[in-house]
Amino acid sequence: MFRLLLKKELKVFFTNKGNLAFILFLPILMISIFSVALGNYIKADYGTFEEGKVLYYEEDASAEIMNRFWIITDKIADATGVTFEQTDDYEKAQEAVEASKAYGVIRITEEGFDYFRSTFNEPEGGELVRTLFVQLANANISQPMSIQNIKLDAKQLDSKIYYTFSALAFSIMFMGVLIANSVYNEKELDTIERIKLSKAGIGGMMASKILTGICCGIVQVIVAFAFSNLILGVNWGNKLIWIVMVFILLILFSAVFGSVIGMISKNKSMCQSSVLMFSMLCGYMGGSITPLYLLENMPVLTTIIKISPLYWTNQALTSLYNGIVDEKTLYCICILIGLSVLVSLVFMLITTAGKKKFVSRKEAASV
Amino acid sequence: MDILSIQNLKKSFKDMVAVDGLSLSIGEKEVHGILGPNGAGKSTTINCILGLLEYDSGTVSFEDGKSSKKWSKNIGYVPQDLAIYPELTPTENIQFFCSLYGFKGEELKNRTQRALEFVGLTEVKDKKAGEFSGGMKRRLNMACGIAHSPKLIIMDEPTVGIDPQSRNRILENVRALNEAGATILYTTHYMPEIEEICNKITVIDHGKVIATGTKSDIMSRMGKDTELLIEFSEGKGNIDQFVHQVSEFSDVHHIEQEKWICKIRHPKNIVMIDKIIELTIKNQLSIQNIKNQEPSLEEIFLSLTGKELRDQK
Ligand SMILES: Nc1ncnc2c1ncn2[C@@H]1O[C@H](COP(=O)(O)OP(=O)(O)OP(=O)(O)O)[C@@H](O)[C@H]1O
Ligand SMILES: [Mg+2]
Repeated sequence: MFRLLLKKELKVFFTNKGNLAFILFLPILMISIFSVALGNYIKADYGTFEEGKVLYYEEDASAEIMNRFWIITDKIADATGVTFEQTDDYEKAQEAVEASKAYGVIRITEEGFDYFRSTFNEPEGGELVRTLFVQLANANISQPMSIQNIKLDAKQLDSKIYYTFSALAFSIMFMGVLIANSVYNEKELDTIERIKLSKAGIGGMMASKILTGICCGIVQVIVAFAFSNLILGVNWGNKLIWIVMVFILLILFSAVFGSVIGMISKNKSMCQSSVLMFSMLCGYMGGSITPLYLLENMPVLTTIIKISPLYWTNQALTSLYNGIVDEKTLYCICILIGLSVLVSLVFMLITTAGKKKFVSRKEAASV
Repeated sequence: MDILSIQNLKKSFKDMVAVDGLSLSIGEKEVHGILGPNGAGKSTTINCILGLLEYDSGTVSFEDGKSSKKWSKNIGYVPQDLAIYPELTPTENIQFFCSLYGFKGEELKNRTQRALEFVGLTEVKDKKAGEFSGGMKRRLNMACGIAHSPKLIIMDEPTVGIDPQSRNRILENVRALNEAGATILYTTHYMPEIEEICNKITVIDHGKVIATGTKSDIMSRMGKDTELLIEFSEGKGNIDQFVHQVSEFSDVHHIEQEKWICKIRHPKNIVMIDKIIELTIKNQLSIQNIKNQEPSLEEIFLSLTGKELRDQK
């Protein structure tokens, strides 16, 4: 039964040429436009050390330790061009790091060095400098220190890469509009009444809509993968499975959100515009238009953007692209699953508590 | 044994009472017609029966006292508003709705084919339903509701706005379905349809039952009335006295006068015309035109309720 439900869903969905074009071309269009038009945003900062700076704070440091510090930092400064700047307020320095004003702050004590960095905001350059610093600091003192054999293997992030991921995520969010529409259509056509009377019920219908969304989303990912690989020459790296998993969870969230909005909307324009607005907002705040590191440097935004699921997705994707599976990936997975569950629960609550008031067009007219 | 029984059903939308204490029972193998004007509450009643609308009070129970949730697989619903996918072909539409009841494979194919034949859409089975005429869509709408062989088929004005051929086909189908053992609940505001296919009739208005019974019951209460329309030459004779005298006859149910035109309602088969002609002569009236009319829905209402049918919406 479910197979037929899904089959019909896909059939109806894809007889609409608009839907088909949307699925196939939106990711390509967005990736191309964003990476060309907004390319300069990214190149200037990500992956270069220009204007990069690391703060340091002296606390009971012996002359010997300080000496060692100078040797290390000189080498790094030579190799990368970042500057080291002294600070006398450790807490202020930490705040500056959180606000992306500096790569990190090194606290120098009797025991050695303590490198502080931001968990969420550390840019590529910062990550490299930190790796160098830690390696040099741990190196055997008696041996001459060299950074010749330190491999700088973190990939440089450029606009093509950044927008391959973030624009794809953005277009996946937009797919919610199509799902919302398709759910709303069932109400408009009154076919939902037939479905309600049958064994499948609303649950079966919603499940098939969500699954349709997931199929469409996967097609989008495949299209974007092919396009970015073949045309833009972007290699998705060796954490492909993880990247795909993050995308699938994002698709799940977008489809669940869309179908619930389609179900509770009382008219078509409300249904479409609310999903559209939500997607736009998520996209803007999640760094799909303006890159994340710029948003993070803006005073109020830096906190607000964290409510966008795309913020977490883009964070995770950036790490995963660089081959790092870290807490960002974990947060992203939890947040996407959590939000999907939350939206479903809220829907179940309002439909049972509100005596299905929102479900039926027949009843909706009277609410 | 009743297959559906409704007791004292009430449903209002905000302060508008759509169904007002309606009771109704439908026995097995009946073709039960619900007759009522626009806005009488027919669709609302059906939606309550199906559980698609929550009702305020009353009970709806099916065979063995089951609720609509438990019994809904035995119900076939043909909604007033078309409920089909215009993007899909009739075959796909029927197959989909039938599969929702758990049918699959060969069985599903056979059922779909039979339903297509039944409503006469086999020839166009692979065209898009969106391109069909109104009548074809109505027939498909019906096929989608019956392919799973329900025991009770609820049809809400299935013949609204269609050509006579499609209409006749649908009426024939209703009869055939009934002969094959299905119970049918049929709503309409069109009397001839009810006469043609129903054996039980319930007349409703303002959400209330006005009359219910077997076809012959109801017919004897209203259908046997006939209306005599007489036009007199202007200015000749005493029309007021004539009207007064006619209204004294106990068999005359209703008389209406507008200047020199009179409408007199009386039961069929009663030799009334003679008496009336006698009176016209007595009152020195001269008849210009006289004709007998079958009563319309409005007039049936009038004779059942004694009040005018309110404006059609
Ligand atoms: N969702 C709703 N909200 C508010 N009022 C409604 C709603 N549905 C129906 N009504 C009102 O309830 C009354 C009964 O409507 P209903 O659709 O049941 O009539 P009906 O007998 O089916 O008429 P028709 O022959 O036109 O289909 C009407 O006055 C209608 O305006
Ligand atoms: Mg109706």
